[in-house]
Parts: sequence; C-alpha cells; structure tokens
Amino acid sequence: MIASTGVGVGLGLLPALILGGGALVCAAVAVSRPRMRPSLYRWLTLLAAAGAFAASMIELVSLRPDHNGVGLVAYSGGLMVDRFHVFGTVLVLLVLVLTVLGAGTYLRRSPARAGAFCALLQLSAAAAVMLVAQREMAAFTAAFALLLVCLVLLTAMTKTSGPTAEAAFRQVLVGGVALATTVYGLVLLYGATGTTDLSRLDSGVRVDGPLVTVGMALVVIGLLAVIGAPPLQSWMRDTQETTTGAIAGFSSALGAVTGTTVLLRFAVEGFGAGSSRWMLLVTVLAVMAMLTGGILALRARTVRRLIADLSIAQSGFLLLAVGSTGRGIDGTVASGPIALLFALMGAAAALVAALLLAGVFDAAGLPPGIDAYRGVGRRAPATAAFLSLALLSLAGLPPLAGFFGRVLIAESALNAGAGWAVAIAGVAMVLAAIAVLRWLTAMYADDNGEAPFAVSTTPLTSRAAAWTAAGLGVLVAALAAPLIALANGGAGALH
Amino acid sequence: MSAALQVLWAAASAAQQAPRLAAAFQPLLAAVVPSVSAAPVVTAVPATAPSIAAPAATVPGNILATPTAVPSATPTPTTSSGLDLPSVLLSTVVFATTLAALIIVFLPERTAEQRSRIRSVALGAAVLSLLLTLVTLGSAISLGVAATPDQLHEENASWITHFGFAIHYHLSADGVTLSLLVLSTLVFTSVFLAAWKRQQRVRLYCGLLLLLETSVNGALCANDLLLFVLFFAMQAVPLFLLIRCFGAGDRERSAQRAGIAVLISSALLVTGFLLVIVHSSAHSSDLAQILTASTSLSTTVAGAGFWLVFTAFALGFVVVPAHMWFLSAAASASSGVSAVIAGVLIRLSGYGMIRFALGLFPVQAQRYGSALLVLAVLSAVWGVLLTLAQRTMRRMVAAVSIGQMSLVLLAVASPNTLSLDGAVLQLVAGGMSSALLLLLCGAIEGRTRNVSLDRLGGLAAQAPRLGGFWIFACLAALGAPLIAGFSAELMLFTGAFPVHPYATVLVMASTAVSTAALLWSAQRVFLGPVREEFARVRDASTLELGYLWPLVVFLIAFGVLAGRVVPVIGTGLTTLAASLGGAR
Repeated sequence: MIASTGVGVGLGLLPALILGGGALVCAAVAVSRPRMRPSLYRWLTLLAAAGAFAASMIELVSLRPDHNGVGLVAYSGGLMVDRFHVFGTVLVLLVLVLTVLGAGTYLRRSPARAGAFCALLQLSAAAAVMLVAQREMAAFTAAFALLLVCLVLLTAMTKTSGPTAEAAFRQVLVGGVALATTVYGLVLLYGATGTTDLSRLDSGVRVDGPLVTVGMALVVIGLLAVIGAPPLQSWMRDTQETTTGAIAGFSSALGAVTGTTVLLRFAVEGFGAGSSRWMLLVTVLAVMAMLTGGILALRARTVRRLIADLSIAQSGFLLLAVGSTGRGIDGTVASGPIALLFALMGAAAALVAALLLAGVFDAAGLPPGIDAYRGVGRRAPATAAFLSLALLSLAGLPPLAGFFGRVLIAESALNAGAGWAVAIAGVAMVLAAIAVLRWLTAMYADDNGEAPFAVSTTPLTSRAAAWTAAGLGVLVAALAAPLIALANGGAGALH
Repeated sequence: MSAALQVLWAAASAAQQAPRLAAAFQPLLAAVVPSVSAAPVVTAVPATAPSIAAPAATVPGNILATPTAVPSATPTPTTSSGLDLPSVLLSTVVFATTLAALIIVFLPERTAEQRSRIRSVALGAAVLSLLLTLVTLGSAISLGVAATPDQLHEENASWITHFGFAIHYHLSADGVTLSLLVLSTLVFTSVFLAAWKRQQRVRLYCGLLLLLETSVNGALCANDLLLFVLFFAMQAVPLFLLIRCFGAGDRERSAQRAGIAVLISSALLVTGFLLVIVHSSAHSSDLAQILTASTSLSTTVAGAGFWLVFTAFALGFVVVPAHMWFLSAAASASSGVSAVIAGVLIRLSGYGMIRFALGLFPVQAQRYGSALLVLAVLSAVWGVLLTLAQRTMRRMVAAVSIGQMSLVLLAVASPNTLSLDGAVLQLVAGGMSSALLLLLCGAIEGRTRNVSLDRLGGLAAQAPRLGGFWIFACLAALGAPLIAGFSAELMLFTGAFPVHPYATVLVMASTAVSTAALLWSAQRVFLGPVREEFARVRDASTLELGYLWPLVVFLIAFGVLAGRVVPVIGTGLTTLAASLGGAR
C-alpha cells in the first residue's frame, strides 16, 4: 500500500487532472484565439496524453512493492489506486492518441471546431480514467454522466449532417435511459447495503436477495449502453454510421474499454464472484450480443454498418469474460479478468483502426456500400490491406489479436461452467467471419471499372495512425505472452 | 476369395523386395545425407505384411497391445545425429514462407521483371522449406527408431504462462509429421512452379499461397493444441480468397462453402480442445503434457470432446455427407489451388484425425468405432457413385480423393499400428497422386479450353507425355506396385481386414471401382480417334515437366523406399499405439 494517503490520492487523480487541464487549455485557446491552427490543439492533446501516461507510470512504479498491485483505496472506494487503474488508463490514452492522430480530415474540414473537439476528447478520456478507478456509487455516477455528455457532444459536433443530428438526439435519449437505469440500480444497492461502497455488497449482505439482484441487473444494463451491447446498442450503431471515422472510433473504443473495465471492477470487487445470478445475467446478455452482432453483420450492406455489428458481437465476447469470474470447475480462479484485459487491447485497436480506415475511404469519396468497395484492393492496396486486418481482428480470425482474445475468453467461460455460451460464441464467430469474408471478396475482386479515387485526401499522419492501429492487431498477437502477463498484473489487483 | 488371396500374396511378395531395392538406393541416400551409413538396412515391415494371418496374431482384440509389437526397422548403427542443424530448423520450415509473403507485399508488380521477382521469392521460400524437410527426413531415416526428439529438431518453449493454463510453442517432427511435411512442401513447390507463367495479380496469388503453406506446415509441426488450431484456422482466409479471386465458374459459392467449412471446423476444434484443456489436470495445452496428465477425462467430457474434434476434422476430411464443399472447390478453383486443396488440405485433416481425435480420445474412438466404420463405408461407396457420375475431369479426381480419404477413416475405425502406418502413407501417396492429377487437369484444360470428358479424346497423339503422366497418376491412385499407394493400401487393408473384414472388402472394392473409372477417363481423354479441334495441342512443356516430374519421382521413391519410410512413420505412432493399447 502507498504509505501516504495524500500522495496516493494525488497519484490516482493526476492522469485525470492532466487530461482535464489539457481540455481546459484547449477550450481557453479556442475561445481566446479562434483562428488558431488545428495542429496546435492536436499537439496540446498529445502533450496532455503524454503527461497522463507519465503520471500513470509513476503510479505504477509506486505500486511496485505491493504484490497485490493495490496502492490505495480512498473515499470509500471512490478512488482506487491500483494496477487495474493504470492498465485501464493506458488503454484509454491509447485510444485518445490514435483518435487525435487519425482525426486529420475532420480537423482540416472543421478548423473552427478543432479546439472544442480536442477538449471534448480529453474530457471524455478524463471521465473514463476516473470511471476505471471507481468503486463508489456517487463518484461513479458523476463520472459516468460526464462521459455520456462528452460523447453526445462529440457526436453532435458534426451537425452539418441531418443523420448525425438524429444520431446525437438518439444518443441523448439512450444515454439518459442508461444513466437513469444505472442510478436506479445503485439506489437499490444502497438501500440494501446502507453504504455507497460497492465492496460492502460482498460482506454481510445476502448477495442473491431480490433487492440486490434487481439493483445489480439495472447497473449492468445501464453500463451496456456505454459498451454498445444489446439492449441499448442502437446509439452506437447510429454514431458509427453517421459521424466521422475519428469520432465513431473514439466513442466505440472508449465505450468498450470503459464500460467493460468498470463492469469488471464492480463484478469482482462489488457484486463478488459468489453471486451466480448476476453472472448468469451477464452471460445471457453476452450471448444475445454475440448472436445479434453476428446475424446483423451477415446482412450489413455498408462498411460502417458491418463494423457496428461486429463491435456488437465483440462486446458480447467481452461481456462473456466479465461473467467468467469466480472459482472455476478445475478449482482455480476462472481467468475472465485476465482474458478481458488482454482482449480489450486488441479490440480497442481494431475498432479505432476499422473506423478510421472507413473514414479514409469516405473522405476519398467512396460510397459506403459493398458494391462501391469492389476492387479497392487494387486501387488503394495499403489502406485496403489494413482495413482487412482490422476487420479480420474484429471478427476474431487468426493469427490476429481478436482470435487470441476470444480463445482466452472461451477458456475462462468453459472453466466458469458456461460451456453452452462457448458453443454459441463459436457460432457467432463463424457468422462474423463469414460476414467479413464477404467484404474481403468484394475488396479483392476485379475492379468494377469505377473512376479511381484518391485516399490522399486524408493527411498522411492520419492514414499512418489508422495503419498503426490496424497493425496493433498483429503486434498484440505477436506479443501475446508479455501482454497477457501485463493483463495478469492488472487483473491481479482486483480482489 | 482364394484368387484374391493369391493376388494379395503375390503383391505382398513383391513388396518384400522393397527393402532390397531400398538397399540399392542406399549409396544415393548416403550421397545426399553424408552421415547415413552405407550399410544396407533390413526392415521388418514387409516381413509382417505377407501373412494375412499374422496381423491377427499381432492385433489381438483389434488393438496393438504394446509398443514393442510395432513393426520397426532394425535400428541403424548409430551415428550421431545426422546433420548438425540448428534447432530452429522447424521454425524455418514453417515461417520461411511467411517471411517471403511479407517481402513480396512490398515488391512492385508493374513490369514482367517485377512479377518474375515476386514469383522467384515465393518459389525460393517453398524450395527452402522442401529442402529442409527432406534433410530432416533423411536424418530421421538414418537414425531410425533410435531417433530422439532433439535429434529431430524439436523446439519447445513456454509461450504464454500467465493465464489459467500454459500455452507452449512446441514444434516437433516425428515420422508422421515428416511424411506429411514432405507432401505439403512438395505440392506447394510444384504449384508455385505451375504458376510461373501467371501474369495477373501475381503478388496476391503468391502471397496467399505462401500464407496457406505457412498454415499447413505450422499445423503439421505443432505439438500444442492451441498452436495447432491457430495454424489450422489460418487457412480460412487465404483459401477463401484464392478460390474467389482466382477461380472460375461458380467460384463465389465454392469459396463461401470452403471458407464456411474451415471456419466451422476451426470453431469446433477450439471448443473441443478447450474442453480437454479445462478438464485435464495438466493445466497446459501441450499435447504431450495432456497425454501424460495424471487424471483422465470423465466419460462425458471425453465423449463430447471426441465428437467435437472428430466432426471438426471430418468436415475437412470430406467424410460424406460433408463433402460437397470439396467437390465444388476442386471444380471452381484454379488447377494449382485445387491441387493444394485435394493434395494437402484434406490430408491435413486426416493427419489431425489420427493425431488428435484418435490420440486424445482412444477409448472413445474404439467405443464409437462402429459409427466411424459406417461413415468410412458410406464415404467409399458414395465416392464410387460420385466418381462414376462425373463428366468433368476435375470433379472425377475430387470424387476419387473422397474414396481415398475413406481408406484413412477405415484405418481410424480399426486402429492398429499396421493400419495406421498404412493410413499415414496413404495420406502421402494419395495427396501426391491427387495433386499430380489436378495439375494435369489444369494443363489439359489450358490447352483444350474444355473440361468435359465427353468432348475430349485422342490427345495421346499430340501430347504423349501428358498422357503418360496421366496414366502414371491413375496407377498411383489405384495403388500399383512400386508406387507409394501400393504399400499404403496393402498395410491398411491388411491391418483393417482382421478387425472389420466385410467393411474392408467393401471399401477395397469401392476403391478399385473408382480408380478403374479414373483409368477409363484416361482412355476417354487420351486414346481414341484424334479430334480435329485438338490437332494443334502441344505436349508438356519444360516448365510443366519441371513441376510434374518431382511428384512422380517422390511417388516412386516412397513406393520403393517404403521399407525405410514406414519405420520412420511407425516411430511417430508409438505413443498413439501405447494409448490404444491402454484403452483396451
């Protein structure tokens, strides 16, 4: 444990404070110097991200003497300074950096909104970083509300487009429902435990009592909205289809990372692994998401819709890992948390990559339909190849990160006694893979004779960021061993 | 029946001459592999073959009871470990093609010279893999049964340990793997040579083939369950794209079916293997550790695992009724790709069936042996009917391949060392003959622009060499003496007959009929009156000879040197034989 509470609190808050500070600076500059070049805001954001990363590393170093990886529990669980928090923070920062680097086209087209855009990115990231450190109801609610508002504003920024305005409105509605559902759930849990610290659920309270069960269920369903899983997934599909690649990628990836890590902490440290009901609920929801995403992906006629459906299926796999905690059938602890953290690395990178690359093609003037993508393998070979990598990773095909993540999740689910869910997961994987293969066929088919298009309308930096994100799918697979060790360290802090 | 026995006796007697012929090739082998002793080696395998009663004596209760009963070569005088190659040899065999694929991604493809460079890189990687495999096989033959895993360049390292179970990077090449590696690397090399004149989309074609070869070679060498699945499932995307982008006819549907078959197979395999890993006390996905785990799987889990794994491989193994994807893929894909599918990919599933379905679940394999037998007979009979019904060369060859795979399933249904040795050799022989036939189909189709048997005829006058190759390939598929298929079928039928006599006779008859149909196709295509539209058909070119001859040579080599090869295969089946014996 960190000796000094003040130091520990400072370390825990520092990444979020730096990001929040960066957002304020961007906002201030945007207000005072409206004609400032967009690249300045990008640099400010990168600087803030670097600062937050350095703060996370300092936090990690301070945790080194602790074998459990837990540094401090402050404010009744309102701030958890531990390796899990560091892991989640680094993932959030990765998504932030890839997005800000890949948003070149948007910044070029809307220079007046660059400041607000970068500020919202940083504020969303700060909210996400705070959420990952939460185990206390009130602080969680505040951070959750902040995150939802920031994501809505990001969607609404592209307000020149009618569908985007509609998507933003729908996101407000769904976000409101999600927030309300989560708050109602937390209220029930507060009523059952008499405290706002979720860890108290596991001590002296009947975990399977009706009040607690309903409360858990509402919290889980509310968080599903951020993750983008059924039944509250519609906003994510709309956002991914109507906004720019950068905003869509950021919202999706950040939502997946934040929602699942928060749910995992609640599951392990709050609800506890002893409650079979919430685990069953999460597993059922996971199966629904996997099947929904897989079936819808088969019918996707646009690339954005395909990516949206694949992300729904992917969220199902991540939820399956959340439901695979507790004691396994072989007597050991089921490895759901480790599998989830590892899978998140590849999932976040693949989502950001796929949406950024779809944005590159959009910016080049290519219509989003499958027929328009015929022959892009020849017309834009590098971009098409990286998009193929990202889609294959999202579908979970080897030898990419998505495959490894799914195998580890399946093992943990089998060990947790959810063999039936694994069988359905296999079906869902096949469906998703078939959907992706359909698109690859079109992309590498003979040219349809359409006029050539130029991906160079997207700045090279942005294209490179998108390629890098797609390449991370290969890198995560290649470095599976050390990354799983890191995930093990992060998950080990949960207890 | 007595006539049949006399034929069998005569054939077996001829097979007894194999070791003497092998001895005659010893100096050649010594010249290639200097550490090999020049002294002739007498093998014991043929000695057990001739007697129909002998296998029954050595196979009590259908099972080979102890490893010591395995027919094996007399151990060669020891030498050192053959060529002193670094222990990354197997990784090189597997990943040389991946490296080549990465290189050609960055090579331009605008001029003819640039395309030639791409083809050269691809071919170079394939040849390197082939040469390394042959050297390893040579070492294995020279070391005989005394070969240790280290001497055969086993690589074993912990890979992922910070999880609920450990995953190992474990590559090994026992006799079974080596034989099939030779098949795989040889067929791919021939296919790359066959693509030498390709001018369209060379980079994509070669890249996908290289990835496919990586997948196959890696799966063959993998001795860890999840590593195997990783490589096995990798074939889905390259296979799909190769059929879809470079095929003809109904390629879209064929590609979808092939892709779906591989994906479903992979999903079933992952589920089955994970079931074993979770319920095994080994806490590891390493095959050797699972097999030696202290506690065995429960009946329910083992039964579920067996059917999951069996079904997974049965899809790729083209067991009837899961064979339609194969027929349409072989017909729609380019000749090179269809040679890879029929010659290598379905044989890989056969290897998996023996190594994993039988190896991990010996008790269940015997418990459900009747069901497997029914499937084997059904596949054989249906294969015959399909063969007789086909009017195009490609589909006929594909139907014959279905029949060949039914032989392997027969061996799995009646497992003993003799039948399994024969099954592995049959995988190799059948793979080479099918690949040879399909490459020849491509050569003929390219010249005549015709695929229908009814519209071909009299080609022998213009293309005698092609005709000779075709007839040789048909004889190889039939199992004529001195060609690899003969020893394979002899051992397989000899091993299976005492266990399931009626089924064995049915399968034998079906095989004979289907390969007779293939010979009939030779008569239709090459003999008879010359057709005017084919008057200008050219004979095999130098390039075509270059990729056809190696297959012919290896078919003969494996046939003549069966006495040296089979003991090597036998060493790879020792553990399996022990587990089968323990399953009685």
